[in-house]
Amino acid sequence: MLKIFPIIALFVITSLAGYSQSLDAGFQLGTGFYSMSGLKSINNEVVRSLQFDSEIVSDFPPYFAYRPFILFNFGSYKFGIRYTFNSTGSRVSSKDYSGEYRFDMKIRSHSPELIGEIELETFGIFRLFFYNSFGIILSDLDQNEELEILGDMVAGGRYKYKSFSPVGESGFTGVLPFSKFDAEVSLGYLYQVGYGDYKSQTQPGMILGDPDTGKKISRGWNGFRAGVSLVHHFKI
Amino acid sequence: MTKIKSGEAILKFCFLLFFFQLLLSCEFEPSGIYNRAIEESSSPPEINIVELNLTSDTVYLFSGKDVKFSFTSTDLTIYEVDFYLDDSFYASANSSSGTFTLDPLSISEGSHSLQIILLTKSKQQTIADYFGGTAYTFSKNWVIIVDNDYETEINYNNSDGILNLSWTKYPNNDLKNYILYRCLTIYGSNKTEITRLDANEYVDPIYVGERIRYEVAVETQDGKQFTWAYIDMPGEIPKPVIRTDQDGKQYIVWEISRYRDAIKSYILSYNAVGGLYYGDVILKTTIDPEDTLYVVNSILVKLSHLKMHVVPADDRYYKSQDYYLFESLLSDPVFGTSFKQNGPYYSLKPVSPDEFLVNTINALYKYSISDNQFTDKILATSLQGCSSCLFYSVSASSSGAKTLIFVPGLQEIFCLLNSSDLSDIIYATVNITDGHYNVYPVSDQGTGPVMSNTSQGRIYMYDYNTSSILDTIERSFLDYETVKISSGGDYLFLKDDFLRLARYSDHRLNLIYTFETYPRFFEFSAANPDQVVIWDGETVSVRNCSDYSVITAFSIPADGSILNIDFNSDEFLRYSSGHFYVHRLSDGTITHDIMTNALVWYGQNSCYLMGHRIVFTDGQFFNID
Repeated sequence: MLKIFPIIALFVITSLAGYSQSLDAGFQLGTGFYSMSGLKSINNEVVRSLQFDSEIVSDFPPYFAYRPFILFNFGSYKFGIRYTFNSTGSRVSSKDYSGEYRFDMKIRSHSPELIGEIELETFGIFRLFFYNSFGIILSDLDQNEELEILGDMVAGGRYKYKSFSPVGESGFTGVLPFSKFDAEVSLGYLYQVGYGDYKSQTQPGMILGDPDTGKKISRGWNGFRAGVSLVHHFKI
Repeated sequence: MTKIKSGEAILKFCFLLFFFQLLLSCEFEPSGIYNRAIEESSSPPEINIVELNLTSDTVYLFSGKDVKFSFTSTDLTIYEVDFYLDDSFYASANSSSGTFTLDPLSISEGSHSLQIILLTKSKQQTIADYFGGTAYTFSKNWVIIVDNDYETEINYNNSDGILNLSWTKYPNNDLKNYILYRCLTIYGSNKTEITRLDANEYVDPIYVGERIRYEVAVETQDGKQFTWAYIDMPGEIPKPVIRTDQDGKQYIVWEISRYRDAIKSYILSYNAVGGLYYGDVILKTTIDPEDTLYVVNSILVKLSHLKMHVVPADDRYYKSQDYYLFESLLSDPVFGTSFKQNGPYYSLKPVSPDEFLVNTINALYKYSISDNQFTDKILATSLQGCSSCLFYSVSASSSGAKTLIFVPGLQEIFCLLNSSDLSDIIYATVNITDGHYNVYPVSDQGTGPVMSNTSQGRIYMYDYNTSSILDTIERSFLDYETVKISSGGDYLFLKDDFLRLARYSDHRLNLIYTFETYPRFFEFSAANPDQVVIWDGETVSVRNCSDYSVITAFSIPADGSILNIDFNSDEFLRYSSGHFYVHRLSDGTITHDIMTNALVWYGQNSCYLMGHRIVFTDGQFFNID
């Protein structure tokens, strides 16, 4: 899949380039909600297993997503490619004067996608598009556990995982054109399909699982996405 | 224009790329802390030392030391105590109290640091409590010194006649007390505890100078005992020594004891081998420590030792089987004047008022009493043709003028010596085939009888000067033995069933007198060759040889025996029951009565009176004035 996707993307782009009216390049600053149900179960298990009381002080909250994209504009529809960078994380914490315990998870994703938009309605100068994208999402998960007693680090460990999964996103985009650029607002839903196991980079062959159920943990990026974009049109 | 527009587009693209990279660096970072509802005490935890028997900063490790500890804390629960030696784990105890042993065998020699670390738990259930507790480092450090060659010693001196002991102070603070022992052997066995004390010194009022070991043991507060120091006392019982003053008077003296105040009495004794008395014979007993002299008025011979024995005033440690500890011996003491250096001697012959001859198996020596040295000698091997000769018999004339030595060998040799000059030797052979007798009396002229030992035996009058037979006298009596000849060669004592006095003249032996009772003593006079002295056991008489008529006679006690007559001083020596008596020859008056331990009988262990000296054959003489 990782090898096929760039070929498909290159084929689509080169095929469409000759027919488009303009090239739209833009950047979207977005955010979203992430299910991360498997990783959250790890946090819950950590809290349960600790002999002292602790709390999940951060549990994969929405965070900024960065999306550059290039679309070929054919008037009422558009095709192109998009790259998305997401990151979020969590923390289980407990601290008193004798020491501190932390269990941090930080996850990042890189997802290149093919995207297509089709105009649904025009309200004056405001135009409404439906978009759909398909691509892959590569995730890096870092786990870091630390126990500090009286200022000395007495225990700890760092673990790294990677996962790969196909990904798609569908939603709506509202476009408000200005003289030199367009302003856009998007709202959609990201969904992962298949694959998505977290494979250990420090212990080959190990796959992250739910400590409670023993089932594999996979994917987790599913959820609503929202963002605002600035788009510049380049004449071809 | 187109180029300008293309450049602007590239510039915009680069700006967007940079902006995007900047945003990528702003990825999510977990944050937030959950603070548990536990408040830290404002003051440090308080550790109370209930017990810790490391009471000084520096601890010398001489034996296994049990370190007892006990800690408590109001703030913390102490669940483990760890001991670190030179920052390395040494021991631990899973309790706030207990004991651990510092074993010098497990610690290398040198200086080490000991640290105690308490592992505690707070009573608030902190995070640290769940992960091994709150380590509280006990701030105190100790220096542990293992010195296997630590020098300890006991010193001693005396003041006011009593022993003072002091020893190296035990440097640790865990001393319970010292234990002072006295040991009867240098191996430290048979120990008797004297006392227990805190000070490192002790005054022993009982010690009298005996050869013992003092041992000090240290008892620590944890009940351990180990030897701390010891000293082997050299033994300072006053040793008797012999002193002789300018007049030849002899004394036994000894030094004043350094421990006189502990001594009840002093006993001076001697022990002789082959003497008259067996066992120790006490010479003197005194309680006066300054009475350190004994005047020797006796003739003491053959002593194995002189002994000073001290009796302690406090006899609690005095045991009969340990008597030797309280004695000091002078071995092989010799009183009088010794001339033993060439001995042992087989016979002694006075040859002048001041000189005598003594012989060994291979030499003949002449000794001058006045010069107190040997003045002449002749070796058997120095005789002609006698590379391996030994002296067999030595006899001297009554006056001592002539000495006759019989040297047996392949060719039997007689040597007639001039006693005044031993180098004046006449070698003689006796060519008599019918045997010899072992005793060869000789006169001042060098003549003497040689007895035949056959049934047809004869008496040969032989001249050793010329190796010739002067006369062959058919025997008139059976089985004669000639035992003495007068210095003039005219008279002989012969012996068969009786002792007989005979005269040799006109080539004949004429019987003068037959002693039906064998006299206790008989001797030809050295001063007058025609006189003889006889002691029949009651009366001593000086008689003419020619007719056995009495010149003078007197009675002396019947006990004992006359040993010899000194014709030069007209005195004779009698011995009886541990006494030497010197009598005047003129009337028998006793001029000296001298006690002795000598066991004397006639013919053996002989001693001679010579010029107011009693000379013993075994090599010593005594002045009797």
